[in-house]
Amino acid sequence: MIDFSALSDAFSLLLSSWSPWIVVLPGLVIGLVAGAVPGVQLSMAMAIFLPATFAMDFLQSMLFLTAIFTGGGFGSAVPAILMNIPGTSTAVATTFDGYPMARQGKHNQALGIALGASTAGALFGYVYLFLLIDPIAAAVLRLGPTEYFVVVLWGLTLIAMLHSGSAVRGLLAGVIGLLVGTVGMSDLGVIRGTMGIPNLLDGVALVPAMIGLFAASSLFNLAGQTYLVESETDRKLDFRAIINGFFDAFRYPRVLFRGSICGALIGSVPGVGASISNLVSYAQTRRGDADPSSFGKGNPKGVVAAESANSSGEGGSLVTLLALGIPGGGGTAIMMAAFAMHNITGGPTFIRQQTDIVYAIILANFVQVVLLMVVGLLFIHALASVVKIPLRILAPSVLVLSTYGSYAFTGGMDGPLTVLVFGLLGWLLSRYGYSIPAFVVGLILGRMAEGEMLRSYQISGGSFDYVLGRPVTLLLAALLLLSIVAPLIAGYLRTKSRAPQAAE
Amino acid sequence: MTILKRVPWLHFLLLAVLAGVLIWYLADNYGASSRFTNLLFVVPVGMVGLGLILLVVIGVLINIRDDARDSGEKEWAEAGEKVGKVQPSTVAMMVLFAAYAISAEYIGFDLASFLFIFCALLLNGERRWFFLIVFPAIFTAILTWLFRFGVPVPLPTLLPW
Repeated sequence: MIDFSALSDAFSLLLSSWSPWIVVLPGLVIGLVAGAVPGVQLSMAMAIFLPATFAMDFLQSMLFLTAIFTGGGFGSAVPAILMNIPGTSTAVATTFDGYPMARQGKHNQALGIALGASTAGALFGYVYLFLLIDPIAAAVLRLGPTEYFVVVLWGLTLIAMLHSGSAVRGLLAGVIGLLVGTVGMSDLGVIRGTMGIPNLLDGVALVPAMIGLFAASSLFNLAGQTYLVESETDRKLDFRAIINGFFDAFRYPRVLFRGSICGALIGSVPGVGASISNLVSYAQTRRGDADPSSFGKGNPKGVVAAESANSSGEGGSLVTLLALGIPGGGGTAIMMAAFAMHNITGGPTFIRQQTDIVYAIILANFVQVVLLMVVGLLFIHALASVVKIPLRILAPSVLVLSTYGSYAFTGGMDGPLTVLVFGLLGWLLSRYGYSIPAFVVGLILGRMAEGEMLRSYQISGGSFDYVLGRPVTLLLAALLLLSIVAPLIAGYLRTKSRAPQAAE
Repeated sequence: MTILKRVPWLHFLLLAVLAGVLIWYLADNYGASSRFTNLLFVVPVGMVGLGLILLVVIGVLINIRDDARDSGEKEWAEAGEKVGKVQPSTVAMMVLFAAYAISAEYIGFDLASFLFIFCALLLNGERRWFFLIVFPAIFTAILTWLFRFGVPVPLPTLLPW
């Protein structure tokens, strides 16, 4: 189950030099700050800082990005508790009881509980990743191109259906992303959609496109706004009460454990990231509690359930990325871009050949979790102040930073121009409810999907009997169909059951 | 306000552009190579895309019809779409950013960044002249300096950093 020789190599990799560690602290701080600023999604912060990983080796870049991920998990709880504004979509359930606790003057306890639950959840997620990565990779190695193709479509469909208000619009965003992902020279050497622009021969520059879609599109909307938290009253932070709150989280081990399992399992399904798991965990905890009516009124168990689930989802989502080479959402999509920047393809072959690096990433994340505890406590005061920066300063500064980053990435003006084009497109798409994560995942997987389909065709000789003889492909195809049809049927049944009630 | 005035033109324009680009891309693919293996993935996906665009258009039209029947959703700016009005400041920010991204190569990243932050601050209500000058200057200087010394890519600038 665990490759001890690779584990020993991983320890050597991490302990032989300081270089992997120097990026962890800045990553955690960036994640904490990005999570604490409402409206700044973690994937956006990761996209902005992705060009910085250009100068790093692969292990360093992964540690940097996972540190942002880990920091953001807790950072987003700060505005959720203090201002009832979830820093990211993963902290929605944290507001349900965190903010009422703050209103009751228990904000220090709530912040401490959130930090405790986040730390425990993240640790659980990485233990889950550590134990399961090898068996999952072994199973994945048996998959052929037809299975891969269906898995790509399944993942994309799940993301499209879950991240968007309208399933059709989500799917359309994913389909457009897939096609944009095929622009350039194909595996067959055919050049399509480049409009004669040589820089498009290798395809659309992924990182600037992601900066545009995630960051620029959101920043345009912030124009004209003053403060996100104008009504914020100065709240005094009490370090001792926060520490006590930290330990309070462990007074509810069942809630903590259930939330962590829920987050890790849901997080490892492509498309169903921490945005969903925190809500599911909260709902489960409330349903199973002796006093469900106390939830939503400042019950600490609500904060524990939400925060443990959204933090353990990080390890879960890495299972999908590392074992299948498929990003489960925005954050892991950025990590996949870092894979591409270092000419590494995620998936079972990567796990088999570079098990030591995979273990090193996981082990370093155990340390990151401990560091989160310390850094989170040290920065909690500053984090609460970040939201006081006027948006008129924040928005243009981040846009300029993104432009420099994209120029550094491509080494020319195609970077900033890609940010501009995809920023405008992203703004339009998100305005009308098209899923940006689905578009981005399509963009990343387009080339891979086409390649796997081509290989399936070449292996099968164009005969459909080949697919019929592969039960795993058929099972995955059935799951793909189910993931499309089930929400539509559920929606229809809900509408039908409401209609008679409305008539009464 | 009548429903006609609230037709989501911008959304329809987006869908028309997406459909146009899709058709062009399919034609470009076919023009590049009409071999089956080249069209194997792109054509079916493109067709699904066109079908989905059609479904979205039908959905929007149904929403507009429902909106016309039910006057309860007047708070939204566009019929059948749960969106507010496009803020002039948002459009101005986009135009400013476009000008910045296009001009940076010609006038230098340092000057373009300074002007962009200056104008964006002004647009968003900053009126303290000292801050309007000093903040963009310091921010741009630090960023440009860090870039010049930290990234092995030549950056077009006005000043010799």
